[in-house]
Amino acid sequence: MAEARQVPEVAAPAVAQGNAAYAWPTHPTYMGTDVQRIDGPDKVTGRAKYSYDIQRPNMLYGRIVRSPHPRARVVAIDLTMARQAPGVKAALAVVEPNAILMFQGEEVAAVAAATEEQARDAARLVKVQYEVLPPLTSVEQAMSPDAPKVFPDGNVREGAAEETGDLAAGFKAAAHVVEQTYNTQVQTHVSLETHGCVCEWDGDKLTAWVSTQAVHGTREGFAQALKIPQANVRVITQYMGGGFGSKFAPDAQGIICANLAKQAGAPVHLMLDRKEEHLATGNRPSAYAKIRAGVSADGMLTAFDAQTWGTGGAGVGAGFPLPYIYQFPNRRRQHKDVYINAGGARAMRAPGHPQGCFITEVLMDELADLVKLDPVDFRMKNLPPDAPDARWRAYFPIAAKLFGWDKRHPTGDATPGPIKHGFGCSANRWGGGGRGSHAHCEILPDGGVIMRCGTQDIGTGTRTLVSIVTAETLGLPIDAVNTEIGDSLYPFSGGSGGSTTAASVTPAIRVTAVKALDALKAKVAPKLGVPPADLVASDGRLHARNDRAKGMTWKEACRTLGAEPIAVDGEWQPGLSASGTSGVQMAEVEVDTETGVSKVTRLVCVQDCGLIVDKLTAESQVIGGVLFGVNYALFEDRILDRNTGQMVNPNMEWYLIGGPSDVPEITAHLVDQPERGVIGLGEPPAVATAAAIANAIANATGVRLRSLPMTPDKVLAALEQQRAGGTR
Amino acid sequence: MIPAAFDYIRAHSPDEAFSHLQQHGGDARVLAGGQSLIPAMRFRLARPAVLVDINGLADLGRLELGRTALAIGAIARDSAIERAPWIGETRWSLLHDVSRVVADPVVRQMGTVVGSLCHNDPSGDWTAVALAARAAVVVRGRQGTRTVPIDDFLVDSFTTAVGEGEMALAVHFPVPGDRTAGSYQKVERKVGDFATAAAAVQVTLDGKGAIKEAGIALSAAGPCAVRVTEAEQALVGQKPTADVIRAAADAASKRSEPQADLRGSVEYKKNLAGVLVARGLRQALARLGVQA
Repeated sequence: MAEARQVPEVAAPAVAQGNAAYAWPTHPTYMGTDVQRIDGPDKVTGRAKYSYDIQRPNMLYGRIVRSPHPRARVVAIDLTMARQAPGVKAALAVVEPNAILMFQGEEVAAVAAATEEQARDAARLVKVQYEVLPPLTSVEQAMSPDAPKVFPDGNVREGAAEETGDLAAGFKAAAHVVEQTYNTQVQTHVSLETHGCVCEWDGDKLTAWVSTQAVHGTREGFAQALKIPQANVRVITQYMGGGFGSKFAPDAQGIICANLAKQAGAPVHLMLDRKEEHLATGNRPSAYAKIRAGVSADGMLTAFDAQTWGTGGAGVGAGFPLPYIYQFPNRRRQHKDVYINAGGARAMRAPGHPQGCFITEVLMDELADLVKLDPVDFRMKNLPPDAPDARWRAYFPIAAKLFGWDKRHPTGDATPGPIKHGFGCSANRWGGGGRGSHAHCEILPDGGVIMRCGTQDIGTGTRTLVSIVTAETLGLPIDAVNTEIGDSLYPFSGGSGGSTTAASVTPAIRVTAVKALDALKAKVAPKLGVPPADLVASDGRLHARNDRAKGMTWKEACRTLGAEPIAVDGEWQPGLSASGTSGVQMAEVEVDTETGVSKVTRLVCVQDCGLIVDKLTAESQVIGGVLFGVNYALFEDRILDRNTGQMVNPNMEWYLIGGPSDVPEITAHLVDQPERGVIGLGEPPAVATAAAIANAIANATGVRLRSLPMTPDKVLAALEQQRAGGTR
Repeated sequence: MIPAAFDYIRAHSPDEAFSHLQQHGGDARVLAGGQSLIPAMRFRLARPAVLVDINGLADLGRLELGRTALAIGAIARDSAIERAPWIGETRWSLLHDVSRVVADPVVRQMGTVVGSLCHNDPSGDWTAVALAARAAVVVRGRQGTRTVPIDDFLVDSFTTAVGEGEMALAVHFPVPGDRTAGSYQKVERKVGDFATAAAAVQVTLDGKGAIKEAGIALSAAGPCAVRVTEAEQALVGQKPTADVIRAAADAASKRSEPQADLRGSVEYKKNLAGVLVARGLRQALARLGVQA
C-alpha cells in the first residue's frame, strides 16, 4: 500500500541565467523545426525491440496468481501441484498465510514455465485458500458510518482545512450563488505496452529489460527490494509503449520476475495482460466536490466553499488542486481521502489537474451564465496576474481567434432538429522544468559521435531530441549522431515524470556536446592557426568564424585526434530550461439529443512549452494529450461491481477508449518561447480537454453535466430532467 | 487466446466442401471470412474439430445482379458490396448504408455477408438488413438446394436453418422496385463495435405517394434480429406523415427486447430502437424526395 508517487510540481520559472558558453543557438538549423523521429522506421517495421520482444536463451515465462477477491485473508497457499505441472521451473508464494489482501488483483503467488501456456496452466494449479472478507466497494459505502472498518487508520483520512480570506464577507458580496456537486471517475492508464520485464541473473548480477519510465529509479528499486548493491543491477529500456506515470519502479511483478529467475536459474519473461493492467498497475483517483460559490453582479468571483473527497483505492490518496487557476479571494476547502478495496492510484498524466480543472471550469461556466457573461470574458476578469507561466490573458484571445469563438451562441442551441452544436473553453497550467541529468559524449577519430544518457524514451521522442541537440551543437547531420539511451549503465538521468524529461535531458546534452566540441576545437586550432574561441562547427565543417575557407571537414578534424577519442562528461545546468506552462483549449461538440451521443468535432489547443526542440514531436504531444482528454471526457470509466467490488470491465472491450472516428479536428498551436529555455509538454495538453468538452455540451444542450464520463445515458437523463421542469 | 486443436481442409470445389461437411457433420464449420468464427475459436467459445475453408471457391465470391434478385455468393466480402458499381442507386440505399458500417474496414475486407447471416449474432448488421429487404438464403443440403426466406432462416441466437452437414451458398436480395429506398441506422460506441442498437428500414412508394411496401427490422433487440411487423403494418397503405412515422417508431420501441449491458440499459436501447426507425424512415423517404 505505497503512496502514489507524487511528481513535484516546480513552480517558479527560471529564465536563462546560465553559462553563456552553453546558451541555446540563436539561429538553429534543426531545433524548432519538424524533425521526424529517428526511430520511427524501426518502430513501424518491428525492428525496435520492446521489453515484450526480448528473447533470451532458455527463457521461461512467468505468471502471477492474483487475488480474485477485493478483500480476503490468505489461509493457505499450496504450490505442490503447480510445481509438478509440465514445464514448470519455479514457483513461489508472494505472501504468507494470514496476509490480508486489500484489492482484486493483489499478488499472491507466481510460477515460471517453459512456455506461456504452461505458465498459465500451472498458475491455475496453485491452490490458494481464501477467507473472503467484506470489501468496501464504493466511496459512498466507505464514508457511511456503518461501513466495516477495513483500513487500520480508518476508511477516511481527513485532510487539514485550507482557508483564505473572509468567507462570510465573500458570500455577502455575491449576487449569485451556485451550489452543486461535481465528480470525475477513476481512469486507468491503459499503456499500449503492458507492465513487465525480462530478468536474467549472471551470478549475483541482475540484468532487467523493463518497460519503465525510469531506468535509474528502477535499478534502485530492484536493489532495495532484492537487498543487493545497485552496482549489481542493470536496467535496460530501449523502447517502451507508454507509461503515463504508472511505470516508475520494478513494481511487484518486477521483483517477482527477478525472484522466479533466481529460483529457476534461467531468464524469465513476465509481462502482464490487460486485466492485470486495469486491476493492479495504478489509476487516476476519482474526485468529488460539493461546492458553494459566489459571484458578484459585475462578474467577479467572491467566495468558494468546498468539501472534496475521492478515492485512490486501497490506502492511496486522492488529492487534486481546487479551485483551479481562477482567483476566489475568499475560499475554504476541506478534503478527505477515502479508501476502498481497489487497486491503488499512481501518478497519471498531470496528476490531479484534469480533476481540478473539470470541476472548476464547469463551475466557472455556471457562474458566467448567472451573470450573463461570455465564458471567455468572465474568465478574463478572474484570472491571476500575468506571469511567464501564467499567460492565459494572451492565450484566450489567440484561441478565440483560431477557433472562431465569436460564433458561439448563448447556452442552448436554439436551432431545430435533434443535433445540437456547442462551444466550450477551459484553461490549464503545469510545472515541468529540468533537474540533474548527466551525459557522456565521445568524438571518435573516424568522425563518429556517440552521445549517451541514461534517460528513456517513454514514447515522447526523447531519443530524437538527444540527436537533434547533439547534431545542432556539432554542426552535423542528425543521422551522424549515435544516440544511446535507455540503459542504467549510461550516465544518470531522472524518471520521465512531471513533464521534466526534455528540460532535464536537452540541457545536459547541450552542455556535454559543447564541451566535446571545445575539446575538438582545442586539438584543431593550432593546425588551422585560428584561436579555439574563433572556431565554429557548421555544415559538417570546423572553420574560422569569419572565414569559412579557413577550416577543415569534420572528418579531417577528427583525424587529428590520432588514436585517442574525445570523451567528456557533462550535466544539466541552469539557464537552459525553465518551468511553468499555461494553455487554453476550446472545443466544439455536436450532441445528438435523441441518442445522447456526444461527438467532439473540433478542438483548438493553445499551449506554451518554452523553447521548442522538435516541433513535430511537440505537436504530437498536444494531439496525444487532447485525445487522452477526449477519452476521459466521454468514454473511460473503471466500473466496480457494487456488491462484489470486482471490476466489471477489466479489458479493452468494455473499458471504452475512442476509435478513429472519435478523433476531432485538432489544432495544436504551440507558443514558442525561446527566451525561457526548454520546459516540458507531456502532461499540460491532457488537462483542459474534458472541461472544454463538458462546457461545449452544456452550450449545445442547455443542460449541464457535472459528472464524468459524459455518457449518452447521462445526457439523456439531464435532458429528461430539464423537460420535466428540473432546475439544471 | 489460442484456439483448441482443429483440422483444416481447403476445399477445391463446392462439391468437395459439401462432402467434407457431410462427413464431419456437427464437428465441422465452414470457414469463409472468419471474422467471427476465428475470434470465437480463440476465446474457445467455439471448438469445431474441422474447418472447411471455402475461400478458394471463386464462383462463390460473385455478386450477380439479375432481373429479379441480387445474388451474393458465400465468400463475397462486405467490401465487395461497398464497392459494387450499382451501390449508389437509391433503391440499393439500405445495402449502401450497411456496407459502410459493418465493423471496420479491415474486417469488411475479409468478412462475408453470408457468413454474417449464418453466424446470426444478435447484434449483427446483415441479419436486420436481410429481414427489412426480405432476402432469402440458398442452402445446400442432402436433398439438394433449397431457398429459405430470411424469417425462417434466422432461428435463434447463433442458430440458423443451416443444418449439420449443410452449407449456405448465397443470399438473394430481391431487386427493389422503382421508388424504393432504405436506410441503415446504427449507434455504436465506437467504430468496430457491435451495435448498441440498429434499425434497417426499406420502403417502396406507389404512384400516388403512399407506402406500398415496408421492411422494418432491428438488431441488438432480442435473441436475434427482429422484424417489426407492427411497424410495417402501420406504414403500408399510408401516406408518409410524421404521425405514421411516429406510430412505426413506437411499435419498434415496444417490440425491442434488448439486454442491458455497458452499452446501455434496456430503457435506453428500447428508446433508441424507436429513434433509429424514425430516422431511418425519414432518411429513406428523403432519398425519394419526400419530406415527412
